[in-house]
Amino acid sequence: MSMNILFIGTQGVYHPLIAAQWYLHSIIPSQIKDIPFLGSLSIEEHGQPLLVGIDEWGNKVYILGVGYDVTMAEKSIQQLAEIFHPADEYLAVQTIRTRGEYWLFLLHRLARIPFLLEFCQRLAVALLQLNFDFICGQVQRFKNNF
Amino acid sequence: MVIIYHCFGGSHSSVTAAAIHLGMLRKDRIPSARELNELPYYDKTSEADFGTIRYMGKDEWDNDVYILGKKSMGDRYNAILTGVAALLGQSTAILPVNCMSHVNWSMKIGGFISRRLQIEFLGRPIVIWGTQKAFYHLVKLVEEVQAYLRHVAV
Repeated sequence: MSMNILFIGTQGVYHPLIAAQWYLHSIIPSQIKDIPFLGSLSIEEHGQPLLVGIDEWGNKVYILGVGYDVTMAEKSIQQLAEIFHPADEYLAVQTIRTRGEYWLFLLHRLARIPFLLEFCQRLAVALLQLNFDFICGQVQRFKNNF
Repeated sequence: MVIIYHCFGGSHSSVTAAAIHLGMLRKDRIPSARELNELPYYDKTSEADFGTIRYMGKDEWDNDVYILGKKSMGDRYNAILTGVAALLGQSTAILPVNCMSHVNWSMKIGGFISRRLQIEFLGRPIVIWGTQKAFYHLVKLVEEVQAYLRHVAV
């Protein structure tokens, strides 16, 4: 039976999105800037899970930004899954952390100022490229345990 | 349906609203300090309870009522909860209710002293006083939720 995989982080459109793309397509650092919806202000504002793709086993892969307290949000999400599907493994949640995620948070806020948008997004991409191995390592551990 | 009343700590306004919803507190009069103190989870939560969805009971329409403390996440938590419920195939089976707009300064200050600073003998009377002041606002919130549930049940 296929299930839903949800990568969460402080903001969904940065490190969780890279994690999802690496999980699905094994992307390389130079491809980060071309990932659809990377740094999207409207997607993050929406606050709902975003479907990124479907893996080879038919599992749907989503991302979600949950704000500054990722541990708290993960706990709520896991409990909600247990309330609705106590017997099934219907949803796999994986928290993705990255170094400098609070800088990403700040850059995302600053990117709302139109003339800073491109500068902030370039800086965010550079930060994510630096942390690429750290992000992929978390996905690899998730894959190993999956 | 799963109804989740949520506020900053999941300790005062959400507990009171859930108790009103479940008939643990009468709607027509302000509860005494003792009645509030006797509510499950009222002013009894700790740091580890943030994010924990705690069961309060079943209402007259057979809905499960829960409470949750989500810090200062605001309405974003509504989006997270409904979004995740949709992933679980239950998009119409959840109703998150944010109680924060009914939290007054007495509740904030009293709650901070009692829960964060752990000085209960000082903070608890202040938060109870604040809850009593906010009580009819919380009743109004619950009545809106119940009106919606009646509408859904028809």
